[in-house]
Amino acid sequence: MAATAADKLTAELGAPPPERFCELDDRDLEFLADALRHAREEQAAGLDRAAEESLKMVPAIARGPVRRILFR
Amino acid sequence: MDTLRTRAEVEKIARFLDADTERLAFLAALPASEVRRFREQVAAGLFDNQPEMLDRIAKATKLVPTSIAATISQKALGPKLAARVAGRLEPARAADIIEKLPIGFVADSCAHLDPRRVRDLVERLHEDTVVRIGVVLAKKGDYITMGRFVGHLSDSALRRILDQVADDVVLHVGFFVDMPERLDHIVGLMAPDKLADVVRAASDGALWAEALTVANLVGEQRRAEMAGLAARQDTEQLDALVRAVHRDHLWEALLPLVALLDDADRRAVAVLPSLQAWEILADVVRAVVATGLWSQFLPLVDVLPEKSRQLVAESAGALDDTDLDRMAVAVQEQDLWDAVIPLVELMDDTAKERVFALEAFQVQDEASEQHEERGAKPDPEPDPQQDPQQGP
Repeated sequence: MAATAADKLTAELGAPPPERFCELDDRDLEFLADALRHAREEQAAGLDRAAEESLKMVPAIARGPVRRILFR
Repeated sequence: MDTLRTRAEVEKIARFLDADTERLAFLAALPASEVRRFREQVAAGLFDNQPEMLDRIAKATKLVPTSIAATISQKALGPKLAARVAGRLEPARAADIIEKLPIGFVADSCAHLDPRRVRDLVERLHEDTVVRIGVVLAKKGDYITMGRFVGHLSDSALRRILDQVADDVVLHVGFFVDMPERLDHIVGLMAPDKLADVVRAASDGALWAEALTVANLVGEQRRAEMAGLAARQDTEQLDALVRAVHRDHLWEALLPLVALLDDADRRAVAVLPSLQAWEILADVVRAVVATGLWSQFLPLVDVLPEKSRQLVAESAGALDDTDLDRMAVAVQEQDLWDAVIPLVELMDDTAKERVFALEAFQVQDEASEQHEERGAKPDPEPDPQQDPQQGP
């Protein structure tokens, strides 16, 4: 059975939204779920590149351990 | 008031989701408490369960000196990721790194910090740093972030920030404050004549939604003070306030303030040109019916010019049966018939008959008749044979 818009939002939030949100249109619930997923993806984007960049600034003596932590 | 709190919450959610506030307008119909709870869920959804790489970067940061960690934050991570990493560090370590960063970068990062970590961090930063962050955020106009921070700041830091920011900042930040219970105390830290400047800033910048929010969140004494200061603005500016309230349906935020005015200030408000317009007075009456704010509205009606009182009576008389009944029930519950009867007298005969036929009116009529009878005849002497505790 296909997930409803409310199910999608619950999944993105990790918990059901407040009670009165059930009064909202499916289209709006779907928008909230999509916007939250998108915001989370945006957050994750760039992390790997940032880790590579960070490594260049670490003093040579610490680079080995730092690399092991970042890219184990 | 709920309308304004919801509006502030919607703007905060829009910020978290990088969404257009207009697109989230559908949330405006929900109670502020639920929208706030949803905002907290969104924050948890964004800041919990972060990618594993973020934790690895945070862990790696511990292996390098603070100054290197600061350089990495600034040059490799940028404000957004640096804030995310700071949220994964021990607060003391994060604070040490923050102290080594340019204040502009820190202010940019603050906007992306996990709101639940703000308190731990702020407590560990030097006061000078906190004050500089506050002033930069105010200059950037990032009032949502400031609203997240101010509740956690010391009195001393708040005083120093208040001394350095423009008067309208108090209104903008008060609109977004995350800990509304702290607002009265914060406003109380301002120099005595600053509150008048803040109210004037509301008037000059048409920041009425912000000013109404702040006035409704502070304690009653300061609320009355703000209401009085607002009522003493120019007629033109007060008219702009009333029209803004009418446009945005904010009567529930304004009427409680009008009720706090002294007679002279209330009379000044009552003669505003805007309060002689049928569409505005009819809107107030509808809002009062919806919110039950009769005890806040009637003192104003009392001092309205005769023509305006007539218009209020007509618009009340034109309510449909359901609303008229709601009005009567609210008036009955709040024991306000004495104040409403003069208004009913101004209604046309048809409207009067409708009011007299209402059940709530009949109940009060019987009650007042009984009261009069009791007043005319003294209560009978109690029967000495009867135990007064037991009754007959």
